[in-house]
Amino acid sequence: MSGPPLLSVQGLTTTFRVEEGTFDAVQEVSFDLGEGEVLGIVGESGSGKSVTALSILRLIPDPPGQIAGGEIVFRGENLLKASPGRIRQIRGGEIAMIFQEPMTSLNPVFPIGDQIVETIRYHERISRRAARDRAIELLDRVGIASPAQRLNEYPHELSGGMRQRAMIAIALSCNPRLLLADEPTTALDVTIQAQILELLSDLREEFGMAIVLITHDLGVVAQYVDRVIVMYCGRVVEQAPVEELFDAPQHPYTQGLLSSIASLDGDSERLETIPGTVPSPFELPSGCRFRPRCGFSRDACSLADPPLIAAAPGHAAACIRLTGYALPRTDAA
Amino acid sequence: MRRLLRHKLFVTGSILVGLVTFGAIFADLLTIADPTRMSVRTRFEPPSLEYIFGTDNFGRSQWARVLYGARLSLMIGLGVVVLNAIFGTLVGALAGYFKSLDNILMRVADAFMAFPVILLAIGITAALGPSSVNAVIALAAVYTPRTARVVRASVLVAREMEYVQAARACGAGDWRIIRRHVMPNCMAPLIVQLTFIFAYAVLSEAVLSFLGLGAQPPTPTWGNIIAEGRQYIREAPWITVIPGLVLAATVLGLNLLGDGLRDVLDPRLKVQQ
Amino acid sequence: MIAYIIRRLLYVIPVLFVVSLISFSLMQLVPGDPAIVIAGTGASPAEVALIREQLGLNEPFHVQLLSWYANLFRGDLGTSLLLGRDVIEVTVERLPVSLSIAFYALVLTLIFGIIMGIIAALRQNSWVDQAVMTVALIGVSLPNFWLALILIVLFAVELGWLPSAGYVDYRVDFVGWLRATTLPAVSLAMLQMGLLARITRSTMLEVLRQDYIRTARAKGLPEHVVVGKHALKNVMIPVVTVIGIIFSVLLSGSVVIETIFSIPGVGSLLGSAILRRDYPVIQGGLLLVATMLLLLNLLIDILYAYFDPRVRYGRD
Repeated sequence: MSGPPLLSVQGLTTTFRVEEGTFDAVQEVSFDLGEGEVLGIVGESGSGKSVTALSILRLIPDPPGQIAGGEIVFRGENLLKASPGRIRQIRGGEIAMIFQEPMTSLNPVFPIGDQIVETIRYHERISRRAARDRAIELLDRVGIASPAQRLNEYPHELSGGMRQRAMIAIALSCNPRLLLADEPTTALDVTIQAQILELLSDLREEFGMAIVLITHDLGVVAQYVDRVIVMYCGRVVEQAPVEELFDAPQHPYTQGLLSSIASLDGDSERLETIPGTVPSPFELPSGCRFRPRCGFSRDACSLADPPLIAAAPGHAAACIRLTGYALPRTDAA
Repeated sequence: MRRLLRHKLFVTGSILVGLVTFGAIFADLLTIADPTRMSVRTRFEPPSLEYIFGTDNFGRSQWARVLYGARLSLMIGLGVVVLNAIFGTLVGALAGYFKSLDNILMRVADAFMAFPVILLAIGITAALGPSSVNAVIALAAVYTPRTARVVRASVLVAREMEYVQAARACGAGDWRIIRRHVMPNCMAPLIVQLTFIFAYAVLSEAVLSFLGLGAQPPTPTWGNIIAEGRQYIREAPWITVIPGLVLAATVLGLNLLGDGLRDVLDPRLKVQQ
Repeated sequence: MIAYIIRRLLYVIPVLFVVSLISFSLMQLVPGDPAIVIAGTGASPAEVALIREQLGLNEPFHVQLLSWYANLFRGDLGTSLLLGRDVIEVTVERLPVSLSIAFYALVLTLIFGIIMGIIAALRQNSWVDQAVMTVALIGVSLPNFWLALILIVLFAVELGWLPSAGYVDYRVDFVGWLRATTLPAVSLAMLQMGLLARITRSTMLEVLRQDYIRTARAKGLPEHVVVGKHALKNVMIPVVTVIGIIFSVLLSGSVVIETIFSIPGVGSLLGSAILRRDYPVIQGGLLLVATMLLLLNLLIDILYAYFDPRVRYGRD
């Protein structure tokens, strides 16, 4: 990575207060993202991957959520200290986001054209006509046929894949430097999934933006991502360039995830290779959070939650097997 | 149950309704005064230790009249609720379960609901003649289509559920399915609906008796006490104000009960408190 | 859209038929001989016979029913026994009075109900929310006739700000109309205002949790656009559907309120017709009001389709 990163997240902690108590949905998460890079964030639901993305744009609903600590530096600016006005400029302007559910993410009572045009017009001084022309171009670019007509249609008149394309058009409307894609294909048919991912990949080449692709699908990661972060129970357990992660996974959780896609094709029995279930955030085990499900655990694992430990250049995992079950000094990461 | 007790508004509602119910049940014990006995010497007594709610233009004890009024109001409300529970459930279940009946039953229900509630109730009581029994009949007729709609909606949901489909596949008869599988699913919305109907019925009965269409004087009802006190509202405001406040408190209590039950029993409708 | 309107029209016709049947049946509900009940105690047999003749009560049931419908199609709802005038004529003549007050009350309800609901939702769980919702809850529980009496004592008798009774035609003197109808309109509106505030609040809270609101924020739209445009239009959908019900209840309350304020509207007409057993007026008045409300609801359905594009396309 040359030059300063586009985005640098350091020690991000986001907490939620619910009836049962308070918990960290995301704890001490750190990573960097270079210009034009595609970073995959992988984890099961509840691992904190969506909360991480929402925290970057400060979209965590408060209450119940709150960003409790850390910093998020985007092009040299700490977003957690930015004014609300500045954050609004960044949202949709420099950092755009698309979501998992294209069915519910578009406002049902406005034509999709309106929803694109308003984004453009809020971020740029531009005539309604010019914004409309740009919207048509964008719809065309994301692969929606007869875009001028589609502009006046309502979300429910479009198929799921079309809606996600429209969402992408909204996201691209102001030429963002970074696109946060939160499980953009999970709700779609398998064939449509591939089309949308291809589209994102093409658009990244064309617009030169960086992408954070959040997914639980390692197959997607292998194909479209440069670097991967694996999250478990709100923490990063491993990060590595994509080839390295697949060739030499270091964390037992990552190994479990990989062997599950290697051995089985469907989702149905996926969890068989990793025994047990994700613990409730209120009943986290002492020490390493993965310990109860881990085939390599020893007494030392219950002493402290391990930090990321370097395994190779650019590759680190939060597992004390890397230091021969010796607890690393806190500055080791 | 625990959640109900933690629901502050529900507890407030229970206390209000509980107090009024207590007063209605033990009206004979709480006052020795005869609510219909007139006395020239005690006309227009303001509220005092002797006459807690004062006396009216005929010198009757307002305390006694409001208590006996509560008895009648609650009985009328209960009557409307019972009739609604029976007929609303019947019509709603028939319409929801048997597609062939749905259209016609719901058009009739729509027609009833096209009339403003009070207007139709007034029309029916006016035709049947003014009395508290007729008020119950009229109000039950007006509210039944509304209850039926609520039941029908739950039945429509329930009949498509998998275990109902399964029961049908196993050859269970229609009535058995309705009784064993569909009705239990309608209970929560029905109970909530009936609580609100209770509130509306008490309020509407007061309107009917205010207009002279409910129980006839000298039988005291909150509505006719207010109507009689109206002429003296400047000199003796307590005659009008007190039964109105008791009525409002009762309706408020029932509304709170309904809100609480809805939040707890029917979380789909939950409004975040 | 046209197809949608036609579909709604076809639905209204059978309902209208049943509505007219219910109105007709009211007379059949009268126990015993309606003519004797109407004529009252102490009426001579000749008077009773006359009433019986006038109302066609001598005829068998099916003839009465047929002639009711025959007259209905000719626009004849019979003659008032008391006023000796055509029922439609007296009702229609008084309709603008009642409608103007109900409309005034509707405007109050909509403005205050929606604003209260939105404020409460945006300040969820704050003291503002609790205060607004307490007011709404009390409003829902107040009997309107009682409230009217209290308002008269306070604002007309004690403070002398507004008249305690009477009506002024808005075409003649608008300010006078406003003065005369404010207390009645407020008495009518209070209950519905509370209900609407509660509906608006819960809908707004629901809408604010939707994904598309998050999308609107993610696009960088300022909060006033997120709430004022993206949330509000979605909140208005259920609100629009209850306008018909609200108007119906407001009109319904006019019997009591117009009687209390001595306002010469349809409500007080029905009120006095009931006390004096003027059945043709009761039947005709009810039928006219119900028909009007059905048509109003039809209009609202069409409006609803405008607000919610999903409805237009056959999702019924």
